[in-house]
Parts: sequence; C-alpha cells; structure tokens
Amino acid sequence: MKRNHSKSLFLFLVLLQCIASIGFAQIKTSTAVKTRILFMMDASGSMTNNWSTSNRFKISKTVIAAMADSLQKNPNVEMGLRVFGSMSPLSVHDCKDSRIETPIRPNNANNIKLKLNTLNAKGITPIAYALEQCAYDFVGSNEKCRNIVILITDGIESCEGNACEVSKRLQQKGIILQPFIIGLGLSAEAAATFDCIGRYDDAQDEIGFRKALKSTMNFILNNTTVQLNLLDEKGKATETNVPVTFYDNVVDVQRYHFIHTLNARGNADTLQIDPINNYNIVVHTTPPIEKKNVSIATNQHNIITIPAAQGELLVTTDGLSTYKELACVITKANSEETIDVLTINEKKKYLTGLYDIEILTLPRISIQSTRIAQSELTTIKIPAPGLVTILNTNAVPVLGSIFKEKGQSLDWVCDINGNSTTETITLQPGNYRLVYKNKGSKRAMTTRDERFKISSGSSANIRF
Amino acid sequence: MQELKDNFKSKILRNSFCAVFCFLFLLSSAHAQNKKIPTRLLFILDASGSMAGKWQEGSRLDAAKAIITHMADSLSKENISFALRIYGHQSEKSLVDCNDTKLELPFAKSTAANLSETLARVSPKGYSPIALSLEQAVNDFTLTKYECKNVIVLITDGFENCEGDACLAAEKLQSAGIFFRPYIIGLGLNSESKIKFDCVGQVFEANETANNFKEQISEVVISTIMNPTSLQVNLLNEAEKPIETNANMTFYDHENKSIKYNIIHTLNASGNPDTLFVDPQKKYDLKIHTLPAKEINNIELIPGKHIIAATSAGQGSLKMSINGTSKYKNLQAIIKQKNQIINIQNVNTTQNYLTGIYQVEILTCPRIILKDVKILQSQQNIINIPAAGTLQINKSQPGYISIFKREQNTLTQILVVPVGANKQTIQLQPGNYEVSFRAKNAISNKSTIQKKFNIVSGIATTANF
Repeated sequence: MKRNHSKSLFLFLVLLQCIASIGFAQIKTSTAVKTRILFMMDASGSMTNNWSTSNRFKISKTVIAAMADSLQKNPNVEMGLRVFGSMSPLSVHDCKDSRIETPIRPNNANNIKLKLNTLNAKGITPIAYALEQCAYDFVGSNEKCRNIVILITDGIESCEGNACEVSKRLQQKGIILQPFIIGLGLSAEAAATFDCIGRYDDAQDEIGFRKALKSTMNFILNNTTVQLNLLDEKGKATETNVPVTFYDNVVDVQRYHFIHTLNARGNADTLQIDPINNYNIVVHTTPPIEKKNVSIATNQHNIITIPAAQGELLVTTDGLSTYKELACVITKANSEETIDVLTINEKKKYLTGLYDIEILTLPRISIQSTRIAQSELTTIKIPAPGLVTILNTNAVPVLGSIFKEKGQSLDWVCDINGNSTTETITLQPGNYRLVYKNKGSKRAMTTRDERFKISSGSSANIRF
Repeated sequence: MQELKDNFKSKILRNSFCAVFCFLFLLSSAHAQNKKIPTRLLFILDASGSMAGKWQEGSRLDAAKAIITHMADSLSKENISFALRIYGHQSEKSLVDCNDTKLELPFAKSTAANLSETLARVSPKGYSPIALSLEQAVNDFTLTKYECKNVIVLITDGFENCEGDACLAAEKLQSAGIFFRPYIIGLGLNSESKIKFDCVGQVFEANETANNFKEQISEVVISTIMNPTSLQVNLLNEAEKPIETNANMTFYDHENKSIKYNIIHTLNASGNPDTLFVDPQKKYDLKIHTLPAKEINNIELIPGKHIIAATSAGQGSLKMSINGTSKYKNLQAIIKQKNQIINIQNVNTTQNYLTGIYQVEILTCPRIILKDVKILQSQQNIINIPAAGTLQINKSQPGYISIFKREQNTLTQILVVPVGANKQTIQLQPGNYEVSFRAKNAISNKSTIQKKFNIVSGIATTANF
C-alpha cells in the first residue's frame, strides 16, 4: 500500500495535468473533448442472486454490453471495464479484489463484451479500494478529457474503505469527475450511503436498470449550453468584460475560468459547461460576487443571471498635483474590511452602491458613503497639496510632530524625522502646528509650538 | 510638594533629633535652590493717555511707577534681573501712533538708579499697542547659554486699542520659549477689559483703596512668580512606573475647549517627569498624543502647589521591514485597532504604539493582513515582509487583463490592468498567480488566455499576450 502510494502520486500528477485543463479546453475546442468512461462492475457473490428476469450479474453483463455497443458509435468516447469481487471467494474476505479487466481505449466495445463473458461473481464488495485503483485506469493519454466512473453495484462497502473520501480526493485532484452510481435493488438505507460518492440512481429491475444507464449516458454526453447574463441596474444583460470562475460545488476545484464576453450580437457569449457538476460561480467584479450551488440542466440552453451592476470611480486632485502613487483605501460603507486599494488618477470599476474612501494623504481624507452609480464615473477631487520644508540649521537632533488645527482641537498628523537637516513633507491645505523640542533637552518647558499654513501648490518653510 | 514640606517640618519639631534633621532639610532645600533656573522679568508699562487718570492722590502712571520701583527692589533681593519696556509714551494721542513701544531699559542696564531716572522721564501720552509690545518683548530676552525662566509683567489700565491681537501675541510667546503667560497688574480695569485680558495672562488688580497697594500687589505677584503652581504628568508603563515619555501633550481649556499649550512630555535630568508650569487659573483637558491618544480630563491646579496627574501609557514599538531592495514606491501599512485606523505607517520605519493588539494591513500586492499583532511593553515587534518579485506584462493588442492570486484552488482577483496599457510592470509578493487576458474586441469567451506564474522574491517574470 505504501509502495503504491508514491507510485500513485506520480500518476496523479500526470492526470492532474490532463484534467486540470478540461475547463479551458472545453471552451476553446468543445468538439475535441474526449469522454472516458470506466464501467466499474460489482462481481461480488450477491450479484448471482435472482433478480428481475434472471440474476443481477447476468443482467448487468447484458446491459453493459448493449451500452458499450451503442457508445462505440461516438468517436469522442473511450471505454474501459473494472470489476471487483471476481477473483477471491467470499470466505477469503479479500479487500484488494479488484482489477482493470479492459483498459480504457477507443473502439473497445468488443473487448469489453468478450471480457464480460469470462467473468464470475464470487467475493466481497471493496468499493473504496476499486475506486482508488481506477486512478491508474485513466493514465495513458494527456489529451483533454473527461474521466467518468459508472459504478454498478448491488451492495455497500464491505471493507474498511471510505469510498466517499476516495471519491472526493480523486475529484479534487482532477482525476475523475463526479462518479455515477446505479444501485441494483438496493434498500433506501443502503442507497443513502452512496450520496456522498456521486450521483446515485436506483434500479429495481432490468428495465429500470436500462433506463437508469441510458439517462446517465444522456446526462454525460448530451450537448448542454450556458449563457451567463450579468445584469445592470435595469436588469439588462449589459455588464461584461469581467473574469468569471466556475468552481466545482462538491470539491471546490476550479472548472472554468474566462473573461466574460459579449458576442457579435451583443449577447453574453455561449459557454459549454459540463452539467455533471453543480457550480459555485464567482464573478470577479470589485468586490466579487458569488453565486453558490448553481445546477445546469442537461441537454438544453441554460441562462444564469447574476446582478453585477457597475460604475467607475476616480480620485484625483484639483490643479497640478504632486501626489504620486497615492493610495485610496476603499471599504463598503459602514464596513471596515478593505475591498480594494485604488491609486490616485486611475479609473476603476466597482459594483454600484455606497463606499467609504480613506485617502492616505497627510493628514488622511475620509469620505463617507460615496455613491457609485450605474455606468457613471464618480470623480472625487481632493485639494492639491502644499509642501512644508523643515530646516534644522542647528544640527541638533529634534523631537517633533506636526498637528493639524481642526476647529478647536489638534489632530496628530505625523512625526518629523528630526535628525536630518532638511525634511520636506507634503500636506493638504490647512493650518498646522509643528510642536518640537531638542531631543537632548531635559526640560519640558523648552517645547516650541510653531504655526504654519499650507495652501494648495505653495510651500512653507520652518527653520530652527 | 508644599504639603509634604509642611508635614516634614512638623515632624521635625516633634523629633528629638531635630538638629540633624534640620541640617539635612536645609541641605536638601539649599541644593534645590542651587538647581533653580534663574528668572528674568520684563516689565511692560502702559504710558498711554488714559494712564493720566486719577489714582489716589496722583495719576495711574504714578501708581504704576511706584509698583515697578517697589517690585524691582524686592526682585533684587531674590536675585531676579529685570528690564523695562514702555508703550504709548513717545507720541501724542492725536498722532495715533500704534508703533509706540520701546525697550527703555534692557536687562544689562537695569540698576535701581537707571530705573528711577528712566521712569522720571515718562509721562502718559498715546495709544496702547499691547500686541506689538508683546511681540517685540520676545527680543528683549537676549539669548543665554543657560536656561532661563522668562517672565513678563504688564502694568496697565486698559486693553489694546490698536489693531493688534494681544491674545495671539501672548500665545505666540510660547513658541519663542517664554512659557509663562504674562502677569497683568490692572489699575482700575473695567470689567470688559478684565475679560479680554483673560486670554493674555493672569490678571491681578491693585487695590486703590489701600494705602499700601504697591506692597500688597508686589507681594502677591512676586510670590506667584517665585512659587509657581506646577503640574507633573506621569505616563505609566505596564509596571505602573512613570517612565514613558516624549509624547506631545495638548492642553485644552476645560471650559471653552480652546488649545492652551503644547508641551512635549520630558523626563528631567533625574529621570522623573519634568515639572510643567501652566496657568493655574484654568482647568485642563489633556490629550496625550500617543498612538492611539490618551486623555486626562478636568485637571484642576491648586495655586502654589505641585499636582500630579497620571495615566497608563505603556508603549512598545512596531517595525516593518521588507527584505532586499524594495521596488514598491512608498510602501505603507494601515494600523488598526478595533476597526479604527490608528496610523498609516511607512514600511522600513519604527513607530511606538500603546501596548495591545493591532491589525496590520500592509499595502503590498496582494495585501498582507495580520489580524493579531501584539505590542508588548518596551518591546519591538518586527514584521518582515518578503521581497516582491516583478511581473512584466506585454500586450500585442489592447485587452482586458486581470491578475489573480491562486491559493489552493481559489482565485482571488488582485489587480485589473488598464485596457489601453500595452506594457505594465507590477510588483507582486512571492506566490502562485494566474493572469487572464482577452483581446478588447473579441466576441467569444473562448478568446480568454490564461497563464500561470510562480513569482519569486527579487526575480522578474514576463508574460506576453
């Protein structure tokens, strides 16, 4: 098991590359996507029990063979067959009784049918182990591909394995998509244990089984399209040009990622989205929008709408500015969490709504509840700054701070360096005080208090 | 302090080892005397027309001269030097001379003889340019090598009647190092003038009905000058020791909330919080500009006594440094406490904060958010920021570009590159990134190009679209 582990890690990595690119591949060249289907068939002792018209094992063989024949016609499908419980008798309780009987290959229907005829049902039901092993079955091609396991079983896990965990892990690593399970005559209680493994479908007889398998195939292979409409405030699908990510809802893996685009007709461009998964959709506006657990109906054109009304914001200065790279911290109104840092003189889109803006001038400028309106540019003009130059001609280190007069009170703005002979500080217009004393002075009353005024574009000098 | 001394004295009397104790006591007080800073006193005498008004048998000016002469005599015993500036004495009232103010007797020449000779020449004439006199008084105190206590005593019968702002002039004295607010001796001030002088300094009124008015007023003023009311502000560290210092303290008038003084907290030569001399007539609200600020409200001084006000103000420091040479321009961090912005600190600087827990948001790309930054007493908390790497994006055509940080499987958009820019250099923190590009005029989602990058500190990466 340990030896296998390191080997499988390598295989996972190879597969990861294969699957991780599914999303982009589908968007780029949807016709070339290969679907690789692995039938994982139960060959445990119980499968020989009488069921419906004959016994479960025989019926399974017939139904799978017929499906293999029918899929053979689809050039984008490859198939393979893995069974469990076929090698060791029940009494041995072999928890590693599973092997790939027919490796996945194109034009494989005959191979599968021949193999089916040779199989006997004997042993136990090591589902987790079998699922774990199927990672190896999908190795072999790094073509863009969808890897799908269809588990056909009449019983629940009979070893210690945790098939749910294995399924999640393989999906997470991009080795398989969500598995499909068809339960043959399972009790509701037993059926429930498969919910966390994948999409479960129930068959109570042979006809039910055929139906279930057919609808599964339809689900997997039918052409499904999606249109993602990003709505403005009037409910029209005019918002676009923002990146969108579709995350797999089950395993939180990124499945599709694209920059939203309007087609030549001005409608949201159509997407090919695999309906096998449910998705959490993130629209990367500022702040981002998340729509959780979106399911895609198979074999039809799905329209998903997400309100994403945007407007633009620009912070700039009156007159000639000496600010460069000045940061403006944007939070949602009445919230403290920073959603973005906007640079002065750069336009940027935000979702419509109210924002608080903290402009990191000296002193800071706080602007509460600025409205970003649909398709409008909100411009915030701050006064151009002035400069104060502090000349320390005494060459004695100084301890000092600049304060702004605000009504009757003084607000701390910044400390001065005090060690340098010349220091220039960019300040917003206003009345200030420089409070300072020689660093070495042991007397508090030697504190000096110098007033100065800053106006836009001008400079003040203080000499000591 | 005074109380302490009184207690001490009575104890001494009761004590059988009186002699020894007395000796010690005298020694220590003599020692304190030696350490006292020398005082210089500038008289500013009003010789405006109104000073010709009647005071007892003579004029107000006569009364003022008598007070000055008596005070100068007392001062010489206290070893206090004096100088004399006079206003309104040179030009007749009809000339409306608002520049009529002159230092008649500088500190260097102030002998009793010179004083009486100078005063004898003065008669009441012109206007009262009080503000101008206060402004010019700054230069009357010649610079000294040793520290001096500089005091102004203004003797007048009325308020400014030129255009000057005497309040502002008095306030400016502080920035010139004359920290004691002027003492004003009023000769028959009307109630309006008394209120106006409130912003200039502490007013004492001479009593016209007392025969010994000059002795009375001299004693009161001199004893106020010699035994100033004082205040000590203790900034306590976490061990309750008053060793925190160097923060500016703004004194607000408790009644009208106006700014009275700015004094930078200082430890004196003995390492104790230095004594502050502020107007004893006021109650103060004190704002200590630590980060965040501390307040002590409603401080009341007791005339002639030493009052101690204290607050906890334990501090530690926060240093942020970025490894290697930073290509960020002016990298800053937002320091918050309880969701309030306390400060914007530049990276590669050190700043003191009160002890406690802060949130630090460093404006790197992407931002680094640290929710639990502890500032401990007298300790420096150092945050090291990994050096950024550079991503250069080249576009062959205009298009939409977004940069995402990838953490596990989640993409977080951190930057949108302007559509028009065809070349952009971006500083990014080390980590995994993805860049999405789509040509501006593309009409299909499928035109999106996605590239993955690993950004390493100090290394430049190029992305071509």
